[in-house]
Amino acid sequence: MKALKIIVFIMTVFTTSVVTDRKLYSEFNPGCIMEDRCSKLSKLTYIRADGDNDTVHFMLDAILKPSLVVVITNKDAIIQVNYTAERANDIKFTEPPKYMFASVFNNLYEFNDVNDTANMKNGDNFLKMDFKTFNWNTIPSINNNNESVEIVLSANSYRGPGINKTGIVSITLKVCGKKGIGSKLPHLLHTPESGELTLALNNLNTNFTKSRFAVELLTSSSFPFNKSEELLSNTFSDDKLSGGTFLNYLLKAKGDVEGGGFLSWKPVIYKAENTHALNSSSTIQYDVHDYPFEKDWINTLLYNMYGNSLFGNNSQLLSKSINISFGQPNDEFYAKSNYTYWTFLVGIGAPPQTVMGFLELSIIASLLLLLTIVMILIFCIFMRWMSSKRNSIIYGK
Amino acid sequence: MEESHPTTSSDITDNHEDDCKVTWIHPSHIFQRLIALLLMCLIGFGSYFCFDNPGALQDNFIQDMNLTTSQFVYLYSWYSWPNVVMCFIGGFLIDSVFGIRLGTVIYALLVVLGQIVFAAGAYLNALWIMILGRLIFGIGGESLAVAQNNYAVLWFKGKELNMVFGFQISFARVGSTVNFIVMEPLYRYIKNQINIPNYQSLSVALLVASLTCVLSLVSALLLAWQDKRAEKLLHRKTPDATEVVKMSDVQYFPKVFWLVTFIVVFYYTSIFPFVALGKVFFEKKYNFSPDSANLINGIIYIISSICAPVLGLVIDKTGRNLFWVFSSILGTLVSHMLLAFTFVNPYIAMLTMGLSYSMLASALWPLIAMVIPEHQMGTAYGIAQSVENLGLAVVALLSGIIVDSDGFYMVELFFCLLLSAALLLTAILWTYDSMSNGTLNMSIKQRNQLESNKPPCPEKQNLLHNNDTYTED
Repeated sequence: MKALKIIVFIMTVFTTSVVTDRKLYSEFNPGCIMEDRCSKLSKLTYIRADGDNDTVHFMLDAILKPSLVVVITNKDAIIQVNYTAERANDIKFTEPPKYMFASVFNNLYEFNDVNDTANMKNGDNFLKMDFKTFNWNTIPSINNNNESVEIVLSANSYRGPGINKTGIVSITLKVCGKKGIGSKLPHLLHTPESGELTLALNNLNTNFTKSRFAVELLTSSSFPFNKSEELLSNTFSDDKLSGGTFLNYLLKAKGDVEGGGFLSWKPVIYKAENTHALNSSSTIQYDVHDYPFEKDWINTLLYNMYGNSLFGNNSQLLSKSINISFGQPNDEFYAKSNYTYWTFLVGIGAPPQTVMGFLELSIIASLLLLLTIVMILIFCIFMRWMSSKRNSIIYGK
Repeated sequence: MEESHPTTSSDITDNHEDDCKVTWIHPSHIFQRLIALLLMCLIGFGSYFCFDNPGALQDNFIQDMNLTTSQFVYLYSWYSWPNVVMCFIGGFLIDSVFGIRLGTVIYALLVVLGQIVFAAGAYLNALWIMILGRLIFGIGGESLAVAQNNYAVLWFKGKELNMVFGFQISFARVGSTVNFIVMEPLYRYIKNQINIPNYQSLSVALLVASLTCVLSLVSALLLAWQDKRAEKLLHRKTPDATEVVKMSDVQYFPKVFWLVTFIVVFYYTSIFPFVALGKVFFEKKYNFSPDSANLINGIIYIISSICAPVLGLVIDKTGRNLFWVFSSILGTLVSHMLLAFTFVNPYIAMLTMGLSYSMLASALWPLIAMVIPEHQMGTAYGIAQSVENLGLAVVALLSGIIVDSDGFYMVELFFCLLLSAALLLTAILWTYDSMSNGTLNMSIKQRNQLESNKPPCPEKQNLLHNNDTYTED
């Protein structure tokens, strides 16, 4: 019965939703009647992506740890937020979600990379900055004819125990209603069921001359793709979207069948906002671990949705964490550019796949055409040579 | 970087004294000729070493000076632009204006000056000054190769000329190879030792590299002195009238010549711009360290310096030039396809490319000598090199733009397309040749038979044996 449920679920949700375009609607603090009161309790940006058969809901919160929660429901399901100080279970949908996948910015680390290995396992003097402690401001969303929505969370300082940071940390979410590629490098492919998140560290003051930064991301996945999560790397010879990057990482939530939520990124960071492909450095990604720590999960939007059932033995959520550090040996650390941005995709369903572009197809077709003509000519030369050889045998010259 | 084709060998006469005993200090003694050979090789060493300095430090240029790849390739295209013209007038200026000694010194001086201006541009973090440096360097570098070949003809005609050309080519390739091996460690050393901004470390590395050009200049001066002395002692005379490139000859050139010229263009534009951009490609796609990336990128030149003479001998023994040209282009195409579409060990692709490149140089250039009369040879080679330089300048620019906008995969596809065009032109040439008398793809035995059956013709009798009149690219 359970297996049948899963199969029906896959067929009705993912196979229909992945390929269709969606109409987007965005709202700040959805359903709020008294904005002043709501804003004290919540900075929730909500994007709704309506497809033919279902609706994907994106929620980005800025009052807790910034987190993007992606939920898929039946079409016409509506979000209901109860703006009270008691946070547990105050976000609901008129119909129960079919699947939820979330990504949380948990901590930002700064470490002293004394030996310039770029690996945080070899780093010293770690500074841990809780993303919740940044003073986030939400910049109003840009809605482009219901085709894409962009939201920026920005903080210009961090004051934690023993740590005082100035500089701008920003998180940008972009959701598009159609399948396509990101407008900025690394031009990640996206689907209407995914959101592109960009973390930018701009002019942050550093505590060490050899400072590098790393981010700890948490992921959460609900039934039926809450069995396991694995990190896959995939090499490809086509780097046309992000010149010089031939690798893609995929962190995928799995159930009995394929098709859960995912994080997808290319191991590349860029050193200026609008730059070229080679003004870049690499990321290093580390092992995926279980992450059962309640104190961090409570400070996420997921607590508003699931309350105490978020953790504990009865929880149906798969909670994991992964670290990603920025930089590669000999790139002269963060201080070289004082700017870094890293982009990744959070989504559900089938991760986007590269397809051949028109130019690429044209070149390959021309290549094949030229080679075919060459083969024909060489065949003619060979036949002519054979014939002259035969003549020389027959006529003795 | 091209090597020029001596065209004046038949115009130079030696008045050897023959009877008296020759001591080691006498210019006609083998020891003196060996010294001259060493100096000739050193004359070209600096320019070949410095030509690929940008390629060996590609990522450093891009990172330290915050260049895009499109801007980086200016350093190559502006080397090629002046040589669209200099291919014609470089040799003429030596023959008719400066004379070989002064001409060589002037060109060597331009190479030094160009490299110093290039380094100054890096020091000031000013791209336009660097481009100016490469332009001056290009004017000197290419013409210096012509001067080098003229010296070889002057000193070794009728003696060990082919071997001398072989030595010069191998030594030039050694210069390119050494550049790829030493520049990155040198730059790193300077960066660690001197506390200055990175682009200034780059500048210091380029300035150190310019010492090789100074070495070339000193060699040019020493050889000028030695040559002057030889001229005096041997009473050697060079005729006043030398062969001058005549553009009017172009209208008489056969179609085959133009086919060969375009094969040259399509082939070499898939090699030199690739080497210029190769370092970062190997670092990014195959995770090579900068040193390893430079090593594999320079492997074409290593193979060329070792294999070119051997493969030249193979062609001398077998003939069948078109077959070898076709095989070489096919080999290079397969190499580029391996690099574009697969992740197999890139050494396989690069070794194949290096062998193909060496083979092609020995098989392709003599085709021009086979179809052009000797008195038009200078013009023919001049035009071929001029068009090649034009192609190199344009393709270098295009490659940079493609890397910036579409990445290395698309630029590799672009190179594959160029090679397919070269392959098609070769197939057309082969078809055309097989439908006529098949001269271009004859075996050596067939050629000898053809030669022995021919009535003597003063103008054409040497065409099929004119191996002295080309060198490889």
